[in-house]
Amino acid sequence: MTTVQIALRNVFRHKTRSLITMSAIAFGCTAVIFVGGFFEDILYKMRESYIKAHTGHLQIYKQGFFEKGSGKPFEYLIDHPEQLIPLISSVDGVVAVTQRLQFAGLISTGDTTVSCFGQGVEPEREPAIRLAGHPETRKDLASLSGTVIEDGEPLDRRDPYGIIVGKGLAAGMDVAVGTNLVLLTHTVGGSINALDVTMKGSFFTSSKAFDDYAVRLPLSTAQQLLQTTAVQSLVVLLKKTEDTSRAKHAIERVLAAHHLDLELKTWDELSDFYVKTKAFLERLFMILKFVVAIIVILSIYNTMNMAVLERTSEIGTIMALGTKRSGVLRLFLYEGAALGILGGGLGLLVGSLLTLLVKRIGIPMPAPPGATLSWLSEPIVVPSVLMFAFVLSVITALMSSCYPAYKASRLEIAEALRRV
Amino acid sequence: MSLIDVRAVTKQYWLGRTPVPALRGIDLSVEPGEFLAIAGPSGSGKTTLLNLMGCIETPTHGAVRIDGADVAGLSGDSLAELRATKIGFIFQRFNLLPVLTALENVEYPLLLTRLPDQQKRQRALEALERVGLSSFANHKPLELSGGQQQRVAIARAIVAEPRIVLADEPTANLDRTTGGDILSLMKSINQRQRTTFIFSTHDQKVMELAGRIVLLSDGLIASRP
Repeated sequence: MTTVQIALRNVFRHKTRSLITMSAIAFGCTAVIFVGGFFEDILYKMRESYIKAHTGHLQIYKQGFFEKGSGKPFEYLIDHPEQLIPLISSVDGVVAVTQRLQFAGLISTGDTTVSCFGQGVEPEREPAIRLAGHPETRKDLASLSGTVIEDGEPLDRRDPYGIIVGKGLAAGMDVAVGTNLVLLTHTVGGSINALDVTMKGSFFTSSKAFDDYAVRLPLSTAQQLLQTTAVQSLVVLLKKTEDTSRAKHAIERVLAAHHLDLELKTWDELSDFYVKTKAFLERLFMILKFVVAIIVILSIYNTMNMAVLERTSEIGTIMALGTKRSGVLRLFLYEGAALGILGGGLGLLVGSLLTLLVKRIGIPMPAPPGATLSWLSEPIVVPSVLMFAFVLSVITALMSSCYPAYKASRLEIAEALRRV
Repeated sequence: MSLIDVRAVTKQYWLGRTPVPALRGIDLSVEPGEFLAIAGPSGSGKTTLLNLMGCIETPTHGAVRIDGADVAGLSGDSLAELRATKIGFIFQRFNLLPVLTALENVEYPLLLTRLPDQQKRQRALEALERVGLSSFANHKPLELSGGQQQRVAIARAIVAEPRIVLADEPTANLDRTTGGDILSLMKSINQRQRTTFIFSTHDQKVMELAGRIVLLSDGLIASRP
């Protein structure tokens, strides 16, 4: 027989009380696992949606673009981008490399003229960014896909003057598929140029602000409008988002080896909204963890304190029999730890099962701020959150047992023996 | 050399700001193998004197020597070791640990030693056999009668083969017959193993079994027959 065995028997001597205490710990643990999984799903979907609709995993620009390019974008264009694509595509983990040319301009129906943001893309390569790795199920449409064609057709290289218009912009201009439009902008050389185009379809992404302002057109058409053969950026899509940092370094090595004057930005450096949302959710999650820690501390403290009060005479007895004060301290700490381990273990089980169940069913969620589309939450069981929830249960259980255990170990033997 | 030597011992408690003297100057020597009764009415200081000899309390003044060692100079841990190795305790309310079986209760003092597990279990079984309860080894205290519980407590007190067993009113919670049986058991262990037994009582019948009686009255030794 060992002190651990005695501690375990003491834990189960008041089954109902211990069960209530363990349930409180398990409840806290479950809350951490579920909310952690819920937030992780939000961040995952937001991240993937941004990557697929807007940023890709990595973007390559001419050196200096990020510092000075906003004022003089056409001074930082990449010439001969087609030579770079094979170099970057050869890096392990790269799925697609696509070129983009962006500009600010005007779009007109003849009656209505509004400002817009044009994005020249490669139709044959962009779909890879939009749908890579994800079957186009309805659920994906509501949550994962980067760009969704709501009406009409997607861009087609063989139809150079067919463009797609952001949902909000199309609604604002009151245009539909088939409407003839005029795109007007400055060329790279500084003169004005205009192009007759036809609205081929309307699209939306996870960003309402983008959909209210953007049009997409084939890259060759954008180059014709801007009178250039260069592009502004190369967008790189990877097999796995987790590979971003590794791929960035690998591409940087390739660019350096070829003495190319280019700079790289990762998706998170380009997604300010995502980074801030992540920080915000992490703060919220921290508050939840704190609340859970308080629940565990209070429930265990109460149980352990009751145990010390009820077992005062017993503590006196074992000390009279020769148990040292450190032995009494250890016994009560083991009991607290046992409650934490058992409650935490129960929490892991319940939390994981609940999260998996909810993931299977899905929770319909309203559109997040700045987005147009409602989505389906499918909380994820995150191993690091499981680990954290368990460690939190055990550590807080130990912490809250410290004072009762100390109190027990400092009892005066004769005084303790006098208690009934 | 006496096994226990109590010299000019006083013990004073405080009730708020009021001092309450429990012992007012005790001199007592106990020799190895004695079967000594400390008698006296309630409040005469019997339990306090036993506590001092059992090293679970320290005197306000005076000295207590156990086997030649002055307990005043010992740390808490050293006192715990002294109790674990040299002193066994029997309590009025038996004080068995409710979550442990009879055998495990008897084994408990051996957990504090470095004996191999097998030997601990063997010695606990032997002690339980000596008190005639080997067939109740796996019973929990609540499944035993008062007399049986006190027998388990006696087995627990002697399992580590201490030189001294202190028993505070060991028969007070038992009927007369069972109490007599318990005293006889203690006496037989005393005679067979030469273990020194010191027990407190206010029962005249119990006193008759003692080899020596120390009568306490109002914190002082009234007589030393």
